[in-house]
Amino acid sequence: MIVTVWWEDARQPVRSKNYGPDQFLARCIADDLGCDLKDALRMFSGQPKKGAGTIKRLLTDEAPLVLNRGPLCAVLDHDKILELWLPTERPNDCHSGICGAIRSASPGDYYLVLLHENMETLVRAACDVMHVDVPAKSPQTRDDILARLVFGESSEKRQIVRDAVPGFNRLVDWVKAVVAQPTPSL
Amino acid sequence: MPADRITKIRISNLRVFKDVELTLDGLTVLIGDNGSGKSTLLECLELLRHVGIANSFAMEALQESHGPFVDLLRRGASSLSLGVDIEGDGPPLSYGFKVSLTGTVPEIVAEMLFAKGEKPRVVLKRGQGEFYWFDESSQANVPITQVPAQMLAAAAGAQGLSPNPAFVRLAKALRAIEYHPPFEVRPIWQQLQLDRRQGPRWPSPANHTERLKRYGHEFPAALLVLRNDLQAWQRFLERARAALGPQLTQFSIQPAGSGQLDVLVHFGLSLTLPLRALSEGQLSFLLMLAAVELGRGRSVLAFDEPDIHYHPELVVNLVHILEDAAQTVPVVVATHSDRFLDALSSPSRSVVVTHMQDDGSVSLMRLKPEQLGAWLERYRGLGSIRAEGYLPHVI
Repeated sequence: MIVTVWWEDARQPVRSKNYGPDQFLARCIADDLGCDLKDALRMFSGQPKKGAGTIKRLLTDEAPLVLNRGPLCAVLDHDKILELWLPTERPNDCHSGICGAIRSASPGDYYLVLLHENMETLVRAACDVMHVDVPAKSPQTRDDILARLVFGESSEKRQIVRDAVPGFNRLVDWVKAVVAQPTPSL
Repeated sequence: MPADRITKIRISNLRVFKDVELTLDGLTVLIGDNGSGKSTLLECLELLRHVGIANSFAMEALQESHGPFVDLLRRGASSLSLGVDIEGDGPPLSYGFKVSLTGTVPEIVAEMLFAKGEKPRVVLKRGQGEFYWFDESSQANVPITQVPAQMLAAAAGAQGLSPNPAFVRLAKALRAIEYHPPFEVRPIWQQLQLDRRQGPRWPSPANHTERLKRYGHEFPAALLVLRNDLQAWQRFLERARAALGPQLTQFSIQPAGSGQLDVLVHFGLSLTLPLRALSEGQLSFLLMLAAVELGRGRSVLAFDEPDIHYHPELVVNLVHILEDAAQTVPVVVATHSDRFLDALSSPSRSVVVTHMQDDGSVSLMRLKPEQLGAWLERYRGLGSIRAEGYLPHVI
């Protein structure tokens, strides 16, 4: 079973072992389960995808292939979702309403996480808890800040950041839940 | 009868490998993270080549050339094993040996050669107090007395000490292993800084050779051999144009004084360049072509990251050349290039993924054709699938 996480990102889809959101997700899982970061990183396969539009397309085109080998979660920034999935009507722009709109456009047994605003919310929360200035927005600064939070701070401080970004907390709980399930035999 | 070729390698307790075997059939492409054992696997081929050469394999190869022996051993292990299967010019052979650490030196503690054929039999056994080989003429096992304790029987066979022709085949096949690390194509100014004055950019002796020397040394002598085979030479010239351009007309080998030879490259009627003037990619591609053409009679051809310095289009050419060569000789390549993987005509057959497991050992995994087929409908090739992070989905 392969647990796949699609991250909406601004960068080109080049995989990196030091990808900040992957590292932070793995550290949160490791904090909760009491395992090594290295082991937590092996629990899922994180893949940055350029833009919400790409993820919208992939949820239709590629999600069935990914779901063949295991659970899939798409992490989307809340700020672009409405334009893409609900461009005209916005009566149900609550969490369940948006998820419903996405699922009706791209049916599939995947999990959705909507980050409040975007990944920068997480970076801002991390800066707050570490008492550092919020740097200029870039993939590199995001990865640097998250790396500091992952390797240089306590689990208590990370929990404060998670509490500030409930969507991310849901993602951590989802990965923990799916890896806890018995692996179906091939 | 076709020449003998290596069809399987077995490795136990050597560096990152606990217990693996790799089947070689056509083109085998090793991919995997840094430190996952690709180069070690190729190094094992080089170690096996020494088996048929060294009078004291354990000391010469394992202790001095590739050692010290303790560095070759997997952590916690006290012995390592290597083995090969050989097919082609007679009944299939299966050979293996085990070397243990005795005090501070390696010692051969077990060795076996098994001929499968119509009458399967153990042709050689060493270990557990027995040391004999099978004599074809008397059809009986003969105790071995004349082979020194530090000598592998394969080398003894090569030196005519054995009464069984299987040893000659074994020694010949092991000596015919050819492994090329990246060629020494650095510009001359960089080589001078490293105080190196040897390689394809320098004039070299007109020694007799049958293969391209490692690192591309003595390239002019290899070209002389290649030029004697008109078909191979035409193919070499035609393929070389992919890197040097359509104006390439000929290579000439010139005396460079002191018994040395140099190569000139001719473009059209008016432009002639010395070989040393070529770019790293161009020179590396020429050396690769020569290695492939002269390697057609080898038991296995291995290249570590042959695509270094190549333009993406040249990488595609390289893949076609290697796939063509792999029809007659097993070819093993280690690479990190996604473009290389994209160009493979049959990735599910060719690619082997080296994967570091939780216990620190490396496993070898093949791709699942049915999974890969579905992904290839959406992506250009395996390289693009890997770049997107979907490699785990196809193994």
